Amino acid sequence: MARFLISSLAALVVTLAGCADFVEPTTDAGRPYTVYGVLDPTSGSQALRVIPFAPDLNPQQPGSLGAEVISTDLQTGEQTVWADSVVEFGNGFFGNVYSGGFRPIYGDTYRIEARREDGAVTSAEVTIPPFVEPLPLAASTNVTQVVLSALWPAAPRVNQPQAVFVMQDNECDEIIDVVPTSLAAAPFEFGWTVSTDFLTDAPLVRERLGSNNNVGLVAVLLRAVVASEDWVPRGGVFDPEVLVDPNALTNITDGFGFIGGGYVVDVDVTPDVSIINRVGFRPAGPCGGG
Amino acid sequence: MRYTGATLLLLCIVAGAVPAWAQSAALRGFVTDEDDGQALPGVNVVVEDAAGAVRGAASDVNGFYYIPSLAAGRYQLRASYLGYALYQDSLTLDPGEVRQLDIEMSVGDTELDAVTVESERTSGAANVTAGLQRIQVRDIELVPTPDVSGDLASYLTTVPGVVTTGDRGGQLFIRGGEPSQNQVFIDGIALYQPFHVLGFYSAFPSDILTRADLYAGGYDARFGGQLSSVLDVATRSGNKRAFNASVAAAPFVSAATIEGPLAPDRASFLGSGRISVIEQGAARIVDQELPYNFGDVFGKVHVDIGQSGQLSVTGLHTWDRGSVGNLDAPRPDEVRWQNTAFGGRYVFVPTRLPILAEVLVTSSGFQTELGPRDPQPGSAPDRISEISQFGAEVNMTQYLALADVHVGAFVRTTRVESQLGGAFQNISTDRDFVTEAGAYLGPELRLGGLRFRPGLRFTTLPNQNQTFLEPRVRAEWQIGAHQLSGAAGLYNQPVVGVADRRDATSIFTAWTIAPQGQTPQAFHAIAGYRVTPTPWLDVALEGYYKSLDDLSVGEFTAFPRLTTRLQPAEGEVVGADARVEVRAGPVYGFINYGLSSVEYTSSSERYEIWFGEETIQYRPGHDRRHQINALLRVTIAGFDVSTRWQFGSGLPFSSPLGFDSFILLDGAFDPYEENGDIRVVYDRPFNAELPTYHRLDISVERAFDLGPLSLTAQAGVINGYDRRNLFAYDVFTLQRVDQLPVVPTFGIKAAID
Repeated sequence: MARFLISSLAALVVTLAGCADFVEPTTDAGRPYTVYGVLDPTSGSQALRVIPFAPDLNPQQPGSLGAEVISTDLQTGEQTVWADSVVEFGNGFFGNVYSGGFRPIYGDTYRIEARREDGAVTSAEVTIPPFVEPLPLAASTNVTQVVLSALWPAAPRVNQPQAVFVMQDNECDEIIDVVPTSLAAAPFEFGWTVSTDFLTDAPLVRERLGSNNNVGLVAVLLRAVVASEDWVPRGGVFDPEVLVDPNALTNITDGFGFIGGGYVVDVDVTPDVSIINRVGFRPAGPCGGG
Repeated sequence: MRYTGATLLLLCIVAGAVPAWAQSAALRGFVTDEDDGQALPGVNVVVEDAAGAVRGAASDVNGFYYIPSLAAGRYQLRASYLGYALYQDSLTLDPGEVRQLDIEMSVGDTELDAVTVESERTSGAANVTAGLQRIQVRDIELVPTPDVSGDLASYLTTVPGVVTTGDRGGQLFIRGGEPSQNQVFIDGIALYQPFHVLGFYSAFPSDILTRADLYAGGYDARFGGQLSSVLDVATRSGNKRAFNASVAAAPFVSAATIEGPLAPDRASFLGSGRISVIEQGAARIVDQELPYNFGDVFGKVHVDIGQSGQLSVTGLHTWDRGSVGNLDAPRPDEVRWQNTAFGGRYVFVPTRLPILAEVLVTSSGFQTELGPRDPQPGSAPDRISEISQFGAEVNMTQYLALADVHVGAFVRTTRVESQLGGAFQNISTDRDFVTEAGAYLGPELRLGGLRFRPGLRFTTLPNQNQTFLEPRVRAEWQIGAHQLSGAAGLYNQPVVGVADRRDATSIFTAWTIAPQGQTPQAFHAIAGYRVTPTPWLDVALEGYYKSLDDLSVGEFTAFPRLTTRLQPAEGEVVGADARVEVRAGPVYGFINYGLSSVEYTSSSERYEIWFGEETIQYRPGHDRRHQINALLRVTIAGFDVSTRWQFGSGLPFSSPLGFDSFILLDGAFDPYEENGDIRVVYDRPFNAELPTYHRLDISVERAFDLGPLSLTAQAGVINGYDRRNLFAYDVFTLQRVDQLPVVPTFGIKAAID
């Protein structure tokens, strides 16, 4: 019996001792790059962050990425070869930013390809939104709200709506504070509306000024990014906890990330003096005087 | 409401049996070891009348036996227990007499027939009955460990269905349940993390134990409050007749034990202490950093109060600290924990009533924290969690002709407090408490070879306005050499431990009160078959099923942080065990095979975005599909040679597709300024499998009797063929943390009587 047990045990040990003891990484080599960026028709120079899809979490080392990045205007056929550059960020990490010296055309679609040395390609198609000139609307006032609004006619969508407070202190220094609009941007039949409640935003801005809040309000602007139609976050909100998933917001083929088409536009919606006084600001005068 | 009928039936059985014992005689008493006066559980006490009819009972953990409903007359009494001389006596019982006959058993080599031996073997690797495995000290000491004395933790890792994270971490997953779903008692006192950071050790060295009952599921109505399993550990009471002391030294731990009479034959004490010496010992032998420090101190005082009462007070303190992850990480973390538990237990037998009553008052506290190994002076750990429980319970057993009726009532209050440093985002970090009160009824009916134990447990949580009524049932049917057994029941767990199981090195557990209406609940079902075809062979097969509802699991996210938001989940566990145990003269061996499948189902709106479906199923990290444990012990020329081999199929882990950075692109963006956050891109949760685990441990032990001094020397090797077993794999850096390499061990223990 003992002999049988011992030999059985030994056979098992010998059989299984040869089992592999290493872990096989499952890195997806078919997705060479993650790309982020915005093609901006208001700028003559474009920039894209190109990130290699790495097998581990170790920080990226400074150096050329070796990727060939080319953009093609699918309407005109014009091609641009983008140039690599190494950037050191504020936290000491390095990354690669590719720049393209061209101004995208409103309404055109661009194909962008990042080709690795082994031929693997990450690509995206980006449509630049049309030119939009926003139209301010009359302020809507009631007891609890002063709604400042503007129309972005023909905009495929708007992102990052903000209220810009341009102020001036007694020393003639300009102070600018930007807050997210307190009301959500909304689509309408021919474009988008951006609105904010001045009675909500203004106290927030005054609070952020601290004790130095004896300033004159020069102007209130509504600002938004006129964005390509596919620049839509899942759930309608740019929540990093959701969008961190690589499939949550992407227009990249064989890679991850997102390349948007868009540009920033401001429109002046400065309210009446009576409304400015109601929230504690003074109207702008010479060097903040009234 | 549907249980009312069953309850009434049980009460009728109890009430109907009362007149029977009122008119008949009974025999009862405590069985002790003649040498040291300590209780002997599991002793078969039988009486035979003039006509040859035999009645009997087995002594319980207190050494108490009760044979009810005996006709008046003369009887031959026999008490037998493996390793002890047969005790024989004759007595005459008068009508209505309740005779107290305490029995002292002396160590001896009385030859018992095979049937008697078989009936007395209440433990053993294949001796499993509906999920219950009774573990005795002699079982524990069969398993090779890097120490002269055994430890319950090492034995538990040989049990099929028990999955560990390896030789570090101290995490035991029993038949699919999480470590925090295991209920562990020492002398009735709850312990929250009794397993030390190095997997060979627990708060239960074999030197202090009487026995341990492991219910891998399907436990009866006496137990409640945890979902998965119960480990009920009973300790010795200490020598009532002489002083004994022992010291032991080995490369992993040093230990000392002392015991003796406080009042001869009436009161005793038992004290034990162990402290790890790994950093000074084993780490130097293997030339590897092993940053583990742990220890435990145990004390117990036991007093016999007259012939019918026993009082014991037990105290235990354990501490652990260690880094179980990648020590080369820029900022390795260290987890620390400690248990402090006290309890008093009074057992008494009323003079006339056929009852054994037990009153238990317990207090248990557990603190754990996680933080940098080398914290800045004055800085607080990243995460702290504390749990404390104060409870009281009364348990009674009424002995009837055809049944032992177990009833009891309990009340306990559990307090939790956590400071979680930003992790576990949706767990309350405030103080909280829950009070549980209730009662149970569990008659154990005996009908020939059938033992049937239906039960009902009622629990109310007054401050949560919740009530649970949980039916339980256990049954075993002995037909000659064959035994069929089964168990089923409903269970709940109002105090839950939450851990992030996505990373094996993340062993920090935060204790919290389950939100109202989300108390985790479980259903267990077990069916087993055991056969003893010859006296030297046992074969057991057992299948089991568990469903686990309202679990909390870590949510998957592409941010490479260790913990994140929690998600509700449900679990389903299906498995089967096969055990073969052989005893042939100087050879003892067993081989166990465990087959198991654990699947969690979790739902989240985010999963729709991430995985294309709102509900995902996955294998959690402890789903070990196949397990083999083989042990062979041979005694040759006074040397005990023990060999143990373990095999486990690979555990699931989440293998990433790769890493990049995430930039929240919500509008204007300057790629020259925004670096973004590092991101890990997963395919599916737990989509890959770690390598298989296997290991061979060998030990050789020899005892030398030198008069009042006895020496035990041990030498051995852990991981004999130096298998490179993986403990944890850091998917972020591709760094692996391996379990112990080949480690030669040696130890010596000196005991003085």
